[in-house]
Amino acid sequence: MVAILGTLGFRANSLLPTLESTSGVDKVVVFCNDHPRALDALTEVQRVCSIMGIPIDRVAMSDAFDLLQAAKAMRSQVRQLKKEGHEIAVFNIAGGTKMMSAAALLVCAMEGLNSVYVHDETYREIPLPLLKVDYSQLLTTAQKEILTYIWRNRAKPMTQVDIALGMGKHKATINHHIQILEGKNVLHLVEDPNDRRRKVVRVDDALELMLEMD
Amino acid sequence: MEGRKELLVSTLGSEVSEIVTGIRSLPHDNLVLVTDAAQDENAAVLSFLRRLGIRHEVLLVDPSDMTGSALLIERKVQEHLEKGWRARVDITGGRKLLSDAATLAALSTGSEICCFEMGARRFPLLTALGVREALPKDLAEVLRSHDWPMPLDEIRGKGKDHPLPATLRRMKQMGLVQLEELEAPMICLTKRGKACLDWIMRAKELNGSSE
Repeated sequence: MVAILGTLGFRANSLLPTLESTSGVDKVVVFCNDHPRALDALTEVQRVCSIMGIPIDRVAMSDAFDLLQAAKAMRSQVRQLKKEGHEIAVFNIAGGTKMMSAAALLVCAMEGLNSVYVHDETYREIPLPLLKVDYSQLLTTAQKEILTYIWRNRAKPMTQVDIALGMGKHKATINHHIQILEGKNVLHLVEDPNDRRRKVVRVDDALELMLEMD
Repeated sequence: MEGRKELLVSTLGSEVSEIVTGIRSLPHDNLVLVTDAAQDENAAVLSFLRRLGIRHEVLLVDPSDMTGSALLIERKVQEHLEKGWRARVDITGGRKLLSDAATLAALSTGSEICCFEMGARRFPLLTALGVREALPKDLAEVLRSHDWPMPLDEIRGKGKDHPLPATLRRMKQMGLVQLEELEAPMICLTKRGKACLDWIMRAKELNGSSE
């Protein structure tokens, strides 16, 4: 079972070359929003798929400008397809908003998928140089534990001392790891809005995707 | 102690306004404008930046060559990262091809991706996701130094202890090579393999030309 995925914007032609160039496709999944022109493009892709006898699923993008939400929806779809036994031949990232394409690129790197771009004037497919990178392997066990703790308690602003106390670790140990994580751009030390003398640790929503906190 | 210097890379189309939000909200000690149209000294965007006293440079790319564009942006970011700077890439301006090339460069360098098309959207990356990081050096060397396609018999002829068969198996697992029945069974590069080889060769060429 071979599936192809694609982000879809206003032009069906951004996706159709991949449909034509990939052999043995038996499922197409497109990610597109509810813009009338995107739905027109979807109708055109559906028409072609119908002629070719290939089932097509649409995943609606409620916010085509939210990279995190788009990437989560795409990754979830990729994993579902893999679970069902599909081989994902390629992910076409040419259509849709800039953030949808960025999300698709990110998912291709995280899931190790082949990705292509279709040039908007020549309609030539351009394979992209992306390989699988496992984010969760990039941090030490201690760093992951600290991040998981901060993530679970993210509703409450915490200082490094709060984290050390909460985790039952020495303050110097936590400071050391927080410094490294800040250098990796994973978290930030910011002023506590309720008490400007305190620096609290803030983590970005991106963590949810990158470290699979969800 | 002086903090890290900040690089802002912004894609630029015909509208100056597209880069304004990024400039206003993202810290920058140097601004690199990535554009597919040459900007003369009197261009509105350049006079705007001069008036504000913003240190900037223009990087002209050919977006029809996505890999080449991404490589040029990547090299510019890399130059700054090597000096200890932090980098952000604002993909709001310009046509989509330009933004996608910039996104590819951001992934490759681990730079934060920002977009202000519909409200502020920022996405920090924990690390670089480029070919350089993902492809082990020995695999990159085999990819670069061999002629493709490679006859399967040639591989079979290698001794039991020769590292090439094991390396090729790893490359197959990464989707870089596949077995094809041509006039004889051959190990061929996949589309991804060709794209990665293209990236490696062009990166080498770029680095060589800057030395």
